[in-house]
Amino acid sequence: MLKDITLGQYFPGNSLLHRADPRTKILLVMAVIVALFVCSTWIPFVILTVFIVGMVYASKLRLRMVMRGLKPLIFILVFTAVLNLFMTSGDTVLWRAGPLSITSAGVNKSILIVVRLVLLVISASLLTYTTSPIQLTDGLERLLSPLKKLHAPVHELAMMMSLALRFIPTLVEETDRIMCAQRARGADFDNGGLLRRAKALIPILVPLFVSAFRRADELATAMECRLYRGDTGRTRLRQLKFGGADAACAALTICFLGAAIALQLIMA
Amino acid sequence: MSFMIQADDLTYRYTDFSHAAHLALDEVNLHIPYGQFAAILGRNGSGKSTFARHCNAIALPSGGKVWVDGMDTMDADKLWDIRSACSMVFQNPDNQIVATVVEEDVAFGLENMGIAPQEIRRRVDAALKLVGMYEYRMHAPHLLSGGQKQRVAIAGVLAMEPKCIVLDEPTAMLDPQGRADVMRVLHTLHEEKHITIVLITHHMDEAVQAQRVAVLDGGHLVIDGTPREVFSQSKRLHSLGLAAPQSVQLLETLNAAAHTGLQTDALTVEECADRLEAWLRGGNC
Repeated sequence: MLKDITLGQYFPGNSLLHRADPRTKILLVMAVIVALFVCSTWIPFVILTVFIVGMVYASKLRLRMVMRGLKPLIFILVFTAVLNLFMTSGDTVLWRAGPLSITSAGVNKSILIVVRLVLLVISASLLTYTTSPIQLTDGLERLLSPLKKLHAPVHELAMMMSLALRFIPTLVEETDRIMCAQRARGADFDNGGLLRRAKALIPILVPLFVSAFRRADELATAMECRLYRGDTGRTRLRQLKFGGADAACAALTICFLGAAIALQLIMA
Repeated sequence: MSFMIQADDLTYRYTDFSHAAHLALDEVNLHIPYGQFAAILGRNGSGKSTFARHCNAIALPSGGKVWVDGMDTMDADKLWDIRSACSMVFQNPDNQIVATVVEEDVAFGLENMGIAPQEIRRRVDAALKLVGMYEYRMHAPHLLSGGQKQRVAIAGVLAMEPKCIVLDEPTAMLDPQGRADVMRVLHTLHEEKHITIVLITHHMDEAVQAQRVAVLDGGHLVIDGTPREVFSQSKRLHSLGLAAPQSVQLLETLNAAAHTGLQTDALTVEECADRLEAWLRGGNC
């Protein structure tokens, strides 16, 4: 059951977005997020929606799968929509009951905010759906590398991230094994109240932590044996390179975002 | 200096939780020449893993000296040279694989050495081909079998082109098929690449395949010789907690039961069969 966890949610493929450099994708997603917050009227939002849905199609991901990523957010979406619906003051009151009132401005605003949040999540998950975790950490390391001049441990953080990703399946397997071992000794993880079930986890967590520390120790030794000494003088097998896919992605994004922001400014 | 690894009076002392001092290695003198395939045997706690850790300066001697490729392991300036001359493979393949893709893991050592990307690519491909894992280069390591993981780990150190590889019980966690694959790779490295191999093991059938066998017990070097010399002393081995190969045991049992007077130094099943055949033919005539 634990094996079904897919972290990073990467779906391999060969689309334009898959081929683009992780750095390009990270920067473009940031630009899209900024644009989503700059725009506050309908027409720019239509343009942005067309753009983002188009990108989902271009990356050959199924829309249904992308929408599934929104499920955990339903509560927040409903909450913000309701809040904006009732709390926005305006001239044309559509409905009133006691202290609560719905204005046309409120309807407008709550719909816009829901669309904004949905687009926000979709564009961010487009990044993780089309970029392998290792590319993502590589891209982040390269993007943040100017911070190294300020002695920020950028390389160390990226290395920690990729090691964590490497060991997730190993530790999941180990957890499974420990659970089986404890079950064989009569442990019961499925019955009882919350407190009892939480208590039942202790005999899993303790051996898991002990073994994780032992692994960490051995891994550190093995890395030292393979001459790991941090960032100094390190080269990479896979060089990140900007190519045609990046130019195409950047051009498309700039066109759509430019149009949306220009219209927003003109109309405002 | 003509030795890959030269341990002179190597002593290693450590204190446990109750602050009692222990001697893991006690004045061990062991010289391993360039290009040798040496096996180091010993029961648990004999000091064999501690010895391995001295071969690339993970552990430093409390007394005596260790010279690796002519460099003193106590010399901190030479640390990285020592580690690139002599690499190490550990028992648990899971805990020495760093990356989420096989070829990225093989490249890890080379990336640390600052090798140019094209050269990394060439060496990674060559190392993966040599250990027979080239088709798996884009796989995730956690989906491979134990033997395959261990071969990836060997490719990782092999790509660094060391003069010597020390393996600390590399087959202890593997199934027979995985063990056979790893041993085949070690022979290829030894014969084709002339790499010095130091194999720490407690499998007799693996030690038999080496050119030289050293037995450690209680931190002392107790036997040192060719497999034939070492494994014909089955009583001595038994007292050290080790068993001679089954072929030797069979011939000794026959000698004891029937006074057949057979030579007992048959290290492989084939040799044993030959001895028995010769004896049967001789007896029948």
